Amino acid sequence: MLRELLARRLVIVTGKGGVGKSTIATALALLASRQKRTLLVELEAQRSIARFFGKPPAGYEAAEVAPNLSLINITGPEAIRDYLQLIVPVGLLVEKITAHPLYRYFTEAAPGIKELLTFGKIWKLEDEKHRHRPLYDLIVVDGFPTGQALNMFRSPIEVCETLKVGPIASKARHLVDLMRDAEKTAFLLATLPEEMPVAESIELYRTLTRDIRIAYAGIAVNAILPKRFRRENLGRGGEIQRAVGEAFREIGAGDSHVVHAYRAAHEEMRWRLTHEHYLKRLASELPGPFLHLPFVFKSDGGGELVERIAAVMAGEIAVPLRAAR
Amino acid sequence: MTIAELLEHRIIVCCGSGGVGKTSVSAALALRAAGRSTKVVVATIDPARRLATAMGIETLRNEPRRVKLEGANLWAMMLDSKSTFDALISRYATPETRDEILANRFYQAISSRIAGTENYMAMEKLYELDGRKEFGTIVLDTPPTRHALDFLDSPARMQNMLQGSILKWLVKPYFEAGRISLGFLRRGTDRLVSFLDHVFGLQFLHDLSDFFRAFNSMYDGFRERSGKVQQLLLSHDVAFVAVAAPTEISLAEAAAFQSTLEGRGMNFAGFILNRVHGLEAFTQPQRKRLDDWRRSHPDHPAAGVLSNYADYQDLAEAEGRLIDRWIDRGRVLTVLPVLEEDIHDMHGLRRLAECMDAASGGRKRGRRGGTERKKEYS
Ligand SMILES: Nc1ncnc2c1ncn2[C@@H]1O[C@H](COP(=O)(O)OP(=O)(O)OP(=O)(O)O)[C@@H](O)[C@H]1O
Ligand SMILES: Nc1ncnc2c1ncn2[C@@H]1O[C@H](COP(=O)(O)OP(=O)(O)OP(=O)(O)O)[C@@H](O)[C@H]1O
Ligand SMILES: [Mg+2]
Ligand SMILES: [Mg+2]
Repeated sequence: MLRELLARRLVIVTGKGGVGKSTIATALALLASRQKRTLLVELEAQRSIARFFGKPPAGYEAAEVAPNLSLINITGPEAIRDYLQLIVPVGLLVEKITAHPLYRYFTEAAPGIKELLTFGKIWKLEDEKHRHRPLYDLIVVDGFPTGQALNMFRSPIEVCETLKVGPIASKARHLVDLMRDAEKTAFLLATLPEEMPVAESIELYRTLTRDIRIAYAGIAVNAILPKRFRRENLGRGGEIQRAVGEAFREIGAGDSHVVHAYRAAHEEMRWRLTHEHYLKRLASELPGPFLHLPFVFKSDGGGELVERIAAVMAGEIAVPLRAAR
Repeated sequence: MTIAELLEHRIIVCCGSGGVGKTSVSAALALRAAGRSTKVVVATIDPARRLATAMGIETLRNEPRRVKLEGANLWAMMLDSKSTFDALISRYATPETRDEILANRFYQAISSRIAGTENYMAMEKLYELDGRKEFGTIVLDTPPTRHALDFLDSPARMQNMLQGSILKWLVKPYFEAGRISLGFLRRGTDRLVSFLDHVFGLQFLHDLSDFFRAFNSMYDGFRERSGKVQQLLLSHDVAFVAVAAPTEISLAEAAAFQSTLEGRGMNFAGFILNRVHGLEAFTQPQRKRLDDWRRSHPDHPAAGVLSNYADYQDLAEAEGRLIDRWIDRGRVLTVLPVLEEDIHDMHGLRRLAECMDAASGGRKRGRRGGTERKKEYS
């Protein structure tokens, strides 16, 4: 799965807010950077991914954060300015334009302009060359959450429909072609095995593949709990119960710990069942490949977590996972 | 503040970053309030389907409906931001301009796509519900935003956007003449405008000018109302709650939310921490013995339970550290545990509401709860 994924030029990770898009995009980019010159793109990031690499927040210029891995943070206003810079006629200054009172209306409320030019900037990066070959072999985008992501993918299509002429219109047409080129672009869904994220992913998958028509690279299901228990093993009064009591006595931890340990085990078992339920639901409603990523208990929520996830992803190359049974 | 004190407020607004449990916590708070106040309504935003069904609001949008629940006068609704905006236009516009506005593409863009509209419409709905004088308590859920602050800034942004005064000044002569003027513009009256127009498409400027011409007549009404909405939010009948999960992003947002609210003189009631793994912490020697024991007894029947417990100890410790780092524990209203299932029915809501009791009493520890943390674990 990963090999295919990494063969593209542009992979956009998207899904519900908070499901792990940044973690997954970063892990993927880190993995890719072992073989390819990789660019990781964050969009309107407030807390830059750069912190995972112990680096200061990324700006609008790509900067190397690890060997073979660069990071850039694209914001709407900067993308618009960047674009204007290209097309502004002689005698007009970009500063004057952006200071113009009408400018805000165009950029804030002109439907899709911000998103369009953000997208445009990504493609400009794709096109960058170093000694006649692409500067980046692969671009991984830590994409917007669902609603905003849809706005971004729709923007070139909508602009094409509303504008027939002008520089933006031709740019939009070009973007639609690139975006729909399955050899170049694909999206990777990120989700949690829980109700709302799963429902949102299924809907998002349909809209992106049917209406917007972007190639689907697969789905990463994040933070899956391990299967350590079966219901029958956790029953009271059994062998395990006695064994646990004994172990805790040896450790010198009191009965309250035994109670807590049971609750924790029980909780994990119940959530694991929930996770299995949603893994099944995903497997029945979406095509693969499925990338199953574990819940990481001990993490700093940063670089360590990303490395763990990248290691699991690497393993998946050797052992392609089928849908959950 | 305690949960009981929180529930004495006429209006409770739950804010927080995406997926932390705003909707669940709002509904659970409303359920708790329904035991004490005459009539309680919770305005939810995109609840999970199963939860909406359980509350009986999966079909009806934008109007409160009574939740079938004995002994509680609880009402619930799902907010629909587009129809709230449409209703607002209908209220202030003349019949002719109304249709023109509703059909305008600039309006359609701001009413459905511009970030922040949904936030503002939640406030607008709150103002409307409050004006009905029908409910003793109103609990407001807020849209999933990247930043909790987006909610607070939405009226100003909306007002700014719709103000159009700069625009009016700019193109006033042409405004009155309507579209003809745009030709005038293009002929080079203002090279900048015509450049922008060329770049961003002619239609947009048309739509914009049409919109403001129609909106002009209702702007004062709109602004006055938006002022009242903001005033309501400043009143101390409104309590703001920051809901946070024990992740860095959500705690950082919640902390920023607190300081902004307090800076603006608004009523910050406190934090509700949700989905927390609380358990009695091991001492360091205990932990070392646990790890040694696990290494020496890999196939012991208790191995699974013990490895799980070691993991949950790590988790609880990491969560505790994050909480201590980001927020003032003295301002925590309640700590809600991860329940054994997601919250999809009245039973789940009741469980969550019960946890609020269990954990709210006597939890006013200092900032450095550290390792002696002992939380209710349910
Ligand atoms: N596999 C995992 N195990 C444990 N924690 C995880 C895992 N993946 C992500 N997290 C944690 O979940 C939180 C959200 O992750 P992340 O920031 O990657 O999500 P996101 O989808 O990018 O969020 P946003 O929509 O806000 O940008 C973080 O605190 C992260 O540390
Ligand atoms: N204490 C809890 N224990 C178990 N599950 C919970 C708990 N709190 C919330 N959940 C579950 O977590 C998910 C997210 O909760 P909820 O929908 O309330 O969050 P939200 O902040 O409103 O999300 P959004 O930002 O998407 O609106 C739901 O599936 C809910 O059932
Ligand atoms: Mg992110
Ligand atoms: Mg919600």
